[in-house]
Amino acid sequence: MFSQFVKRCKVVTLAAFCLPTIAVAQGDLWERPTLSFMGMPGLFDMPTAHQMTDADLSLTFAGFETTGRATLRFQITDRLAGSFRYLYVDDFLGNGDYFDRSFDISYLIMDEGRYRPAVQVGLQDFGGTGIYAAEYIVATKTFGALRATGGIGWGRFGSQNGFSNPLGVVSDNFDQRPEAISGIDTTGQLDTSNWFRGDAAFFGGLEYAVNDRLRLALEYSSDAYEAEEDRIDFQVKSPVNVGLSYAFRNGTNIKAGWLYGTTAGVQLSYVLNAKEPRHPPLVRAGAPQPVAVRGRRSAQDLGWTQDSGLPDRASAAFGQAIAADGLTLDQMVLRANSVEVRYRNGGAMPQAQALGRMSRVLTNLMPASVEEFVFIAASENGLPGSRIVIQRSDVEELEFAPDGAWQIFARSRINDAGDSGLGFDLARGSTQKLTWGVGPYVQSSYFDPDSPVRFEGGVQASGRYEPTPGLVFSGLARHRVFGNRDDLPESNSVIQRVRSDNALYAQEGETALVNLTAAKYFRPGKDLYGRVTAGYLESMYGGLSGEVLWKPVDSRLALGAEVNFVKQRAFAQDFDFQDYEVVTGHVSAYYKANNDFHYQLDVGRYLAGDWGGTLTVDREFDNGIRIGAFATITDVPFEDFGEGSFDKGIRIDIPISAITGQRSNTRIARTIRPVLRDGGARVNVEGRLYESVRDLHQPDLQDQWGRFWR
Amino acid sequence: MSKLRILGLLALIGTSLSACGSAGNQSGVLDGIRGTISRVIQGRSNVPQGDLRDQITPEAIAATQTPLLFIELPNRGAQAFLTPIGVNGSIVTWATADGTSISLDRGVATASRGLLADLMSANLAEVSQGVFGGQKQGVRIHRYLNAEDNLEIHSFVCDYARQSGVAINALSGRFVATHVTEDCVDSRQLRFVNNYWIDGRGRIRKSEQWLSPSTGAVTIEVLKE
Repeated sequence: MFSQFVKRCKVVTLAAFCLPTIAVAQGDLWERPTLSFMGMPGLFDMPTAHQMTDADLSLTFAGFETTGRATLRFQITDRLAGSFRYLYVDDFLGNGDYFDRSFDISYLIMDEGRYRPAVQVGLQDFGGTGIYAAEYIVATKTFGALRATGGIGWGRFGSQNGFSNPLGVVSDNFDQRPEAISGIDTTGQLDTSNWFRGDAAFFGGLEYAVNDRLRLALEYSSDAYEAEEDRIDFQVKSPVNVGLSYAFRNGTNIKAGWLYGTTAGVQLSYVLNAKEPRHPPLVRAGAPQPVAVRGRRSAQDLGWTQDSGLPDRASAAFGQAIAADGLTLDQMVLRANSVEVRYRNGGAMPQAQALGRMSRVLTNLMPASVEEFVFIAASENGLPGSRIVIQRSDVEELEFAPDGAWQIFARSRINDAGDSGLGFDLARGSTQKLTWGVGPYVQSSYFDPDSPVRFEGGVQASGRYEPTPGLVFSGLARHRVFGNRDDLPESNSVIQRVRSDNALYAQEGETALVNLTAAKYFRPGKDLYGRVTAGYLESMYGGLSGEVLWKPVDSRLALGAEVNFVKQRAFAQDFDFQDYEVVTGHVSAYYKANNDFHYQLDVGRYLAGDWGGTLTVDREFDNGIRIGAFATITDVPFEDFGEGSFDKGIRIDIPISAITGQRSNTRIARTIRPVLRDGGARVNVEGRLYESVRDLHQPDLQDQWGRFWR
Repeated sequence: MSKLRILGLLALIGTSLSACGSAGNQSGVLDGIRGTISRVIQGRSNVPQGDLRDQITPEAIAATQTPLLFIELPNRGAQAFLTPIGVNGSIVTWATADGTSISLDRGVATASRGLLADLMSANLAEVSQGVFGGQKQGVRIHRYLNAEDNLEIHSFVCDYARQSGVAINALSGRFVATHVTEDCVDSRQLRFVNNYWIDGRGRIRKSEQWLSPSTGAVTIEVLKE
């Protein structure tokens, strides 16, 4: 075995001496590492030490013989990255298709320098069922067009030519590794006691960049595929993998190789950078109205105030002008020297851009004596959030000023709209009274324990009626025409089945009343927002939900409390209820940090009567892309929770407009949970306050203020 | 492996197709993607309906009632006529019928909207000195929105050279111009050269101006004041 060790060292050091020992500037040749079949920077199954570019989101599909892998990886910071993997192995346990979900994490300890290599430490498949569980430390050094990698691995990476654990000098505990594949019920727990234990082995490889697209790779893998050899007859004839990869211009990369001397494998990956989702920024939107500058003396002219029909005509003209941009006018109050506009942003453009466009339109429509523009930004449910005051003279002066965006932000005043004593005059204002829609729908969910994709589709009908601002009646009904969501297995949960009866709801709810509610949104006072919702809140629960939120206009911190009195709905999703009822509630803290990170902590009682807390961490980019992860720990013991041990998941939210550049208010939003069980479950009530209020406030406004003059 | 194929195909499909209803703006993910595809296709096969320059004759110009500008983007093969839609001080904003606009400060481009990577604003104080005043060197500052919707500043150092008595054939006719070249470079070695042809009355009648890395240079000709 020692001779094997020496042979491995020779391969790596030979490479080091054959080529210039000083790394040549890499330039664009190595802009990003290629991704391995495991979806992390690497060759085939083994990792390399470089990280992707900060904020890279990558999706990798790889397959060979009877194995398929799909990995979603996010570069959380420059040094830290996390992945979620969905694995398919044909007949792994002897009973048909086997699907497995796992998480990885990796951290760059040392950057590559002139003389020193990049060094990374990582955990593969920690806290999953553990069939791919491995830990590693790896180093990579670049020599011009050649990269050499060498590392040491434990767990699965210690199975090929393994030797006794060098960490054994620290403690005898490290010599033995407990059984990797434990029972299904203990999956999901962080098996910290297993990490870096057991035999270790070396791995390594070489990568040669022929040009900036084509790379050749050679790898010595320390993964002996022992479990696959035992269970599905996968033969490892050689630990050497060889192949090549080719990068296309749009972020797609294809890799092919001959693996383990026994099979061919193919991998396709796509990388999207959340900071720069499109190359180059490709934005197409109609030009805004130019600012109409007033004549010198005209501001004194108040003759127009005698025209009693003017305010209504101005209001109608303004409402029409902004409707093209997806903005809705709730009310306009015209005074001699100021105009107050209460509006809602449909979401097709950032708030700052909406304010800029409305300011331009006002300069064209308003009589010259109107100097002050007061904007009341309201949420989609009619809650007035901020009061933004902009001087018309500033708009005229700064339209073309080089630093105009920042200057007009500095000169405008942003305050809370809650206490301005503005009444809503039903006679003068109007809200979007009744909207309805009928059409097809497709609903999909991914990566559940038994199937990569579950979807259903059919017809849906929805309606929304808002007689006065903030009082909303809405409903949604669906009829399923096709789908495989009723194939879900029955629940085996030992605690109250608050969510795991998915299959029964899907089977019996062919025609479903998804929700039917009456809700009231109101402002109890300055910095305070409130909501009360009653009715059939979601497909599984109905009842009463109340929420209050404290969030000052310029605050990064918000605090909220929510209480729900709910009863479980009948499986048929009609008007009936079952017997189970529960009071749930949470106290929440939301914090938008100075960098891109956003934190949310909810503590309280969940649907199964369990007490605990949820921590959510998101990285939010100014273009609207959000990527985050959450975990919930409650007093439900891990064994009772079942597979997965506790509720956790990742979520991705990408506005279509960030990718295509076309104006749109559609988003791709996915929450991926490895398992959906009954612990840590919350009611899905619509219209929660924080999300609808936050983008009316200064911190979010400020992020996108560069769009004001757009 | 068919399940994996489905996985691959449906990986990013959204949850709702387009629907009908009272609210005009309902649109699903597929609509957005469809719209992008059709626009991309149109862009690629953007065969102009003949060269617009052929339509510019002295009679046509004389018959026009409003001031008129002709613009060409050689990089994208696009041409358009523009009319003025707004004035703010010395800056006139010209726009096409389909919502693309360019703002000119005495003929020097200071902002664009509706193009790829719009020039959001520019600091042209020293540029005016160089183009009209005879100064030899000046600084030019451009602002663009990056993919995170934040404003990015690009500063250029520009050298000016003048040549008077140049006879030039413009679309609006032949005239004797002062030809000013503006040679700009930034700290990242991005370089462009602008050309201005100024007539006897001190107005820029024809120019070639660089707007942004994606748009490239724009040719602007004043057809009618």
